[in-house]
Amino acid sequence: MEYILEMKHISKNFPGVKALDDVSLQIVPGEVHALMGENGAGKSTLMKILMGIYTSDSGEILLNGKPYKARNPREAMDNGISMIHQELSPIVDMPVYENIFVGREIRKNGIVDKNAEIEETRRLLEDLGMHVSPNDLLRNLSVAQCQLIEIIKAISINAKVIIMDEPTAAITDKEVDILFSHIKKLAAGGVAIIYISHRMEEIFQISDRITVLRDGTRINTDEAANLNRDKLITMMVGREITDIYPKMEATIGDVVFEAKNISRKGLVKDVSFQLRTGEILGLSGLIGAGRSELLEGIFGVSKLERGEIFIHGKKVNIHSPKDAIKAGLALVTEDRKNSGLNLVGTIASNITMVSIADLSKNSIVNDGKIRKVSDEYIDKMKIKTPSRDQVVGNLSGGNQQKVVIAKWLLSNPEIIFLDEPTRGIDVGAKRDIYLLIGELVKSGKAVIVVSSEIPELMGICDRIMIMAEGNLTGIVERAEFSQEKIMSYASTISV
Amino acid sequence: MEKKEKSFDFKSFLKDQGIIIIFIVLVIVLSAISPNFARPKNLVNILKQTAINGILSMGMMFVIISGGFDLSIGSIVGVCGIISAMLGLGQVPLIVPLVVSILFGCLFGFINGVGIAYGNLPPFIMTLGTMTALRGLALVLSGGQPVTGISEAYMKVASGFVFGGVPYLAVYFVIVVLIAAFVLTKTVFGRRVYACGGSMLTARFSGINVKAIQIAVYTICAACAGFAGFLLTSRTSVGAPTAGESYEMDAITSCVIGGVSMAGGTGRWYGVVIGALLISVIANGLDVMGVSSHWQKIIKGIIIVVAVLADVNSKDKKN
Amino acid sequence: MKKKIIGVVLSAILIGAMVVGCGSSGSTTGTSTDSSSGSASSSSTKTTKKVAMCMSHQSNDFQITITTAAKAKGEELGIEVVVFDGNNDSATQISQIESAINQGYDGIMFEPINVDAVTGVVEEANAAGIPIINVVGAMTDWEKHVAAYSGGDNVTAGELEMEKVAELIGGKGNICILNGPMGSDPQVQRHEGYDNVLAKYPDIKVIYEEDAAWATDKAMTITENWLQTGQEIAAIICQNDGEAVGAGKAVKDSGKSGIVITGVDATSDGIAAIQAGTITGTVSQNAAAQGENGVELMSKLLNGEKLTETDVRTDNIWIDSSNVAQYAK
Repeated sequence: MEYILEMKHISKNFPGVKALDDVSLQIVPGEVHALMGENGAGKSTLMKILMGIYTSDSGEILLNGKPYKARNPREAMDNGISMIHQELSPIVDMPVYENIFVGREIRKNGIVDKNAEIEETRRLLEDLGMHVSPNDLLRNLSVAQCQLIEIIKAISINAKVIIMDEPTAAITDKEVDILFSHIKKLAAGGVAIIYISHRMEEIFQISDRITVLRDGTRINTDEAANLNRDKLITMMVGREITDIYPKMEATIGDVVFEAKNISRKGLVKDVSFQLRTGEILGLSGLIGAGRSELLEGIFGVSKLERGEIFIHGKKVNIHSPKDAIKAGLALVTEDRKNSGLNLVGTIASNITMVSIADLSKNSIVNDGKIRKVSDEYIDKMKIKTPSRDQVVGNLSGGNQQKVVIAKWLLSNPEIIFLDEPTRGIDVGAKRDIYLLIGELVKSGKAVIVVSSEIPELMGICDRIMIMAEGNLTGIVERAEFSQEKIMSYASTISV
Repeated sequence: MEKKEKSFDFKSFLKDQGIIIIFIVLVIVLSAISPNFARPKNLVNILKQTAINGILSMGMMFVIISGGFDLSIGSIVGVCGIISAMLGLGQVPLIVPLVVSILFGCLFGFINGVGIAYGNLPPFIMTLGTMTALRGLALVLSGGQPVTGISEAYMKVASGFVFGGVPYLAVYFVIVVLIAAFVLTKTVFGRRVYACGGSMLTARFSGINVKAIQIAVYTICAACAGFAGFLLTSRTSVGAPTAGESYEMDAITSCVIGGVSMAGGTGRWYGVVIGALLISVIANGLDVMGVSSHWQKIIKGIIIVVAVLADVNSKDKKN
Repeated sequence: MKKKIIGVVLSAILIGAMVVGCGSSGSTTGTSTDSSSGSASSSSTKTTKKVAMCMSHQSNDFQITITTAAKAKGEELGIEVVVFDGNNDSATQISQIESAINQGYDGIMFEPINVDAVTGVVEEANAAGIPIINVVGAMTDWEKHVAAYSGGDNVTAGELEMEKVAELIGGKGNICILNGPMGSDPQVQRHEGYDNVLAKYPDIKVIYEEDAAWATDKAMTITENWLQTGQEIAAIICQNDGEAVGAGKAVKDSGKSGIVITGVDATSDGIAAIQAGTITGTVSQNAAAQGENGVELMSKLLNGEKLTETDVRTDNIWIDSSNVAQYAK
């Protein structure tokens, strides 16, 4: 068969790291080709070479049978290859239609034709079933909507090959269905999609063929029909993993945390719940249900309209994150890049950010302690880095998340809130985090996990709370976990 | 996991600290071109001429690292210089104008900090406002005329020497540098300043009182300006209402040349010291060679661009 | 709400400062913003004439002396003199003169920031029949446009300064010049004066020249650096007193003596420095008289008198330690 894209014997070295070792990949026009592998396996590097962000050390690429080399993403796009990145960076103060056409504005007589852009944008938005106006500012849209707009952007370039890196990380199931129907349409029209994701169900739902990378080499390429979840995991990790969601036994004790009547205007409506030591409490719901808003309100980041918080039965007043930390709480946010990490800081400075006062005497910092503690946590959490002075912005998503969690663990909290802790992280690292959560509750802590992946919550939680449009609509015990039940509590009128 | 033993990597140290190289090269070149440049008395001059900008730069460093920006310090130098002159006529002990000057600096800095932290005004706008208002205040307080007649003792504050010919100004500069360096690198507060600059949101979520840090850095910066105003009056022997004009530009330049990122979160104190010295060396060298001062501006501009490019490039290569 | 608090605090400080500094300041009205906020004058009775005085700036002693004297003379003669500060910006000044034309001023006096730029607006005043006089610094072809000129003469001031220096150094030696902002009228004119005198003294060499922008601190740094070059310097000629004070301090700090240091303007810092012995002398262009003469001329015009003299120049006076006591304030 004729390939639209052939990457032949690609190798790429970075100082001290062999990122790709003789990797070959063939893409057929009109197929959805999944690219899988753990973090650090080389998927991103391979795609960045395709997009002209990196240059390969050896090997060649053929596009439509002709030699292809892009020196920058612009050239890649001009050749019909476009990419939707894992970490979004839309320009938030620009309206939707400008964002979509940025860099390739529609011109009439040398001047930008705004009306044509707005019309085209309207058509694309309607096509995708989005209730968004071309003039809306991205600042006012949800993460999910922003992601769909990135997808629209790539589609509108009339690319022949579209690379999608974790496109469904922050969108709901309903939106995933819409996306997939579009992907199928594109494929039917001859466009090839290279699909990178860690979500197994989706991979099997949408892909025709799957390629697995591990440690910079290609392990296998096969029809999706010939593979299953276990086989994939084995290929990705190099060993058999029997349980994806390890559930460790922990004794569930007394109520350590209680929230009563938590309300935030328009966002959270009168939510009350209890949390016990040793418990993992899941928090499910559609995007916009108010889960993050609930936790941020409790944590003192945003003001509560009403509500009381009790820890060990005693009322606590939390007006700021500092108060919350003092009371024994920790919050690992959903958006690690903006609110979890200092990207220009080192691993050490990030890990010690919350507990810096404890690592000092009379306000003078003890550098020795900082070094020791940072190395401890790098080891404990298996953070892949040459040193504690590595700038955090250079780490992979999974390792970055580990740094954030390390920061909070160092402050020795009793109650830990984790908001989408495994978003955009590969299977191996995810498992590490589940095990970690298990260890935490075993040692007597209490954990709330917010997640949009219901199977994940069902795998590790003791109970699951569900929110919808700011209300707490249901609580389900582990014995009665079912996807349908949870989804029904979560469903309300559509976005 | 492998942990490399951290031996001193000279090569990458040089790459990171390109500015030190530029500085050393410049000094060598200037000494070669003009024998007068390297004479001890001239080097003493350079120290004297660096001191005031140096002190201002140390204060500005805190603000920029925290993610902010202060345009008002030139005006603060002017106002505090006048207040110092009015109190420096010999009628009260010198400690009075010194302390009052610094306190007024603190007050103005506090106002900047509150406007930015609680009023949510962008630093550019807030400090532009205080810059303008305080320059007006300087003119009002002085009636548009320079304040003259400061005491001999006050004049000695900036023109005297310690044993072996080291000027007092250099001593003050060194003291300020030591304090600033210590606070920035060795205290909890210093770490939090870096954290705020790196990501204000993350700092907030991590329990840092971001507003307090903001108010603190602007206060520190303006206190340095108050001290600088006190010294400038002593040095020039008058408290001029127009004194300090554009001093904020040189302070910012020193920081930028010294590797402090305008985005906040990064920067080393020794870089800023070198940056301040570099500016004085350029000015001094050109004066000694008899080259017009207008060239200084061109050269300063070129060095800013080169220094930042070198910095960005070396950071890029690391990725 | 928070912005209001800040506004109140700032205003409180400003008001407090103004109360403190209120005794010394002369001009308060008409800054470079909107002219409608400028004329905060009291209700003018029809018998008191209102005259706008548009100056280049009001941020030094020289300027303040002129306008203070002008206002005082105005009071004597029944004229309310309202001062406008052009902030050294030509466009601002043009707007101010235009506003004066349209707001019913009986007469206009101005000191041009740019000698050519004001021609247009001066002709507007003429067309509107408003008497207009040029003060302090002459505009291009003033005779053709305005009724009279009252001012100093920067060229003769420069000549006087350089003559005195030549005398004091015995007609030979190395000298340095500290200029005002290059290209500005006072700088160009005073330098013309220097050149006129230097032509007569071939043994006087100008070894260094720099632009010190009227600033004391710049002059000081430049002088410090010159002193380090090891060259013999007989005199440092500064184009204003602010610069001279800086040069004098640098020389004093270096421990050298015997260098002649001169300035221009006879502002209070210069006078104080002569008394202290840190500079040798200065040239007074009699700032006060420049202002007073202007108002007198304006008064005559407003009374319908024909002017006998249309070009009134003040004399330059050399002030040094021998006569400084008369001028100390």
